[in-house]
Amino acid sequence: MFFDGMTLTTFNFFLFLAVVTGVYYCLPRFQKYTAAVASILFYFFISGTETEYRIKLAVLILSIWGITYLGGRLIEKAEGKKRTVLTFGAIALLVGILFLNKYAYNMAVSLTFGLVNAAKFDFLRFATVIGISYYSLSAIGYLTEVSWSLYPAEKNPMTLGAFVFFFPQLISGPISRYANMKPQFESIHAFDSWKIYLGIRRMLWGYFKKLVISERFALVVNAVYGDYTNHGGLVILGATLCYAVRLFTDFSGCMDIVIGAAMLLDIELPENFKTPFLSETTKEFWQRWHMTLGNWFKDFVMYPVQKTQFMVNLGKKVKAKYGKKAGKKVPFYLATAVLWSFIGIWHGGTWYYFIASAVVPFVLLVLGDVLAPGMEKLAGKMPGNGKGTFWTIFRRVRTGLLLCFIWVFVCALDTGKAFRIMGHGILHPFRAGGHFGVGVSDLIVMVLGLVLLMVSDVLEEKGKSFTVLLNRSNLLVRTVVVYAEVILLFLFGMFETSQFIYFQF
Amino acid sequence: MTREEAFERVINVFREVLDDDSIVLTDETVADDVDGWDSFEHINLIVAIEEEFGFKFPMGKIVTMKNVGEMIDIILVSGK
Repeated sequence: MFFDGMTLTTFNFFLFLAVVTGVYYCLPRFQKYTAAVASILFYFFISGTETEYRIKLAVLILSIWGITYLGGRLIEKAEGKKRTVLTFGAIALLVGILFLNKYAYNMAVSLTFGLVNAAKFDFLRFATVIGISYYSLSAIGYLTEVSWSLYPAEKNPMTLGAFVFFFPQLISGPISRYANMKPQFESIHAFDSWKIYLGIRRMLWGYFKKLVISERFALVVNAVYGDYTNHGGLVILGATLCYAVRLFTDFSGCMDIVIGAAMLLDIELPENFKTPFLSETTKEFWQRWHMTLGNWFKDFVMYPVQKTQFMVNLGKKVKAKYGKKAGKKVPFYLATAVLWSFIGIWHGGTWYYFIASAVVPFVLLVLGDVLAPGMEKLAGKMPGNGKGTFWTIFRRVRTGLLLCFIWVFVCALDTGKAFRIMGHGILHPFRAGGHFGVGVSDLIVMVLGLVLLMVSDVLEEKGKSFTVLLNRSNLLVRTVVVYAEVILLFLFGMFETSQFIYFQF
Repeated sequence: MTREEAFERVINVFREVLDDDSIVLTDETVADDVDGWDSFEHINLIVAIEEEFGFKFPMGKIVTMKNVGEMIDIILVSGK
């Protein structure tokens, strides 16, 4: 069929979006039904054409939908211990499905440290199910909040389906909360050309980030990491920073497309980024990067763990023995270790992702705390007593450099290789000779793209984003900007290689 | 317990937990308004308030309370 093999960067996606938007506004009373049906169709279109796979996908969707719907209804009616058992039961089923489809094979291979032939675990290898780790979290969050009596369980299965599988966010989030989505799916949305315009503009900005900027920076990363022995440490560091730009423009570009597509249906999705590269500490970075994931794990894992009687008692014991500060820190570090472990596993169950998204962030967080007094002393000796622009820039650069310890594992896609690359970089900092994978014209586009990105972030930080400035300008300027973006996309967009990184999670 | 009394006791808990005697709270105060009230201290504050008022916050409220006003509302219903 025409829509088969669709992704966010293929032409048929626009046609799909246009058809769905048309039906959505032509049938105002059935908007949530349109959203639910379109979401399921979208899921099939992006998932290939194999009949066997489609049957499996249908069973999976119905299982997750059914468990979430029935689970919510049963939890709502139950009380006391029965409610707890039902909540854990329904969540265990969802986690079980997620685990089998996403993590079982990788974790089996990782935890046997290569001592067992990976082929022995082939029975755990299921065909990749795109998006499951995102919408499973939405569903688990919903069941938990029903058990917390924050709202009644959803009675209409279509509204619940629209929430769990909503197609713009199906494949890589943002991870939305039912309390924010329900009123939006229950309302009737009138066609508003201004909102459509805003949605298209947001999508265009996302495509620009992804196809013009991200794909070019990827060329450098692949060239240097693919041939790292011919490059020196400084070049490897540069390539790792290029990966930071590549990852940010890839993922935040994807979010712009997703949020913009939802805006076409007048549905507001949560933001996932808040200018993360302007963070002055790694802790702040995680509060601005993939925010819906961090907030989800904070609310449903970290806080409940921190709030257990065990943790409270532990805090008191440590406080009595080692003082107030330690009494706070020890339980917090333990709860954070649990949080990061979950986030690490969520990224796929491989060691390199676990190290990159659990071990290193945790170590950086603890180091940040330990070194804080020393940094304050240093700040006092800096120009402006640690309060001026110089110190702010210093802290931002330092944060970016520290985060390279995370990205090196993700770039290498292999724990041993990551350590070898770091070792090589330290032993040969100035080696030169390898290729960078880009020509002069690509380099010019990369530099201009990066400058545009930095201006955009700094403006956003000051509350004067491009969006705000454009919304205030006149029709001519607004039209020219959109046409210019489309022309730039077709002139400089790298369509043939594009695939979003976060689809894999 | 009046609302004012609850406020006074909550402010004392905040000052004690966050080591900052200059903290002032109103109904509209949110975490971003108070230096040090971040995800690290959130549960410490909650546990200290629970001990001060002799009750337990429901988990759902801990993650959804929007401001100090909502916190005080819950304390007035459940606290001692």
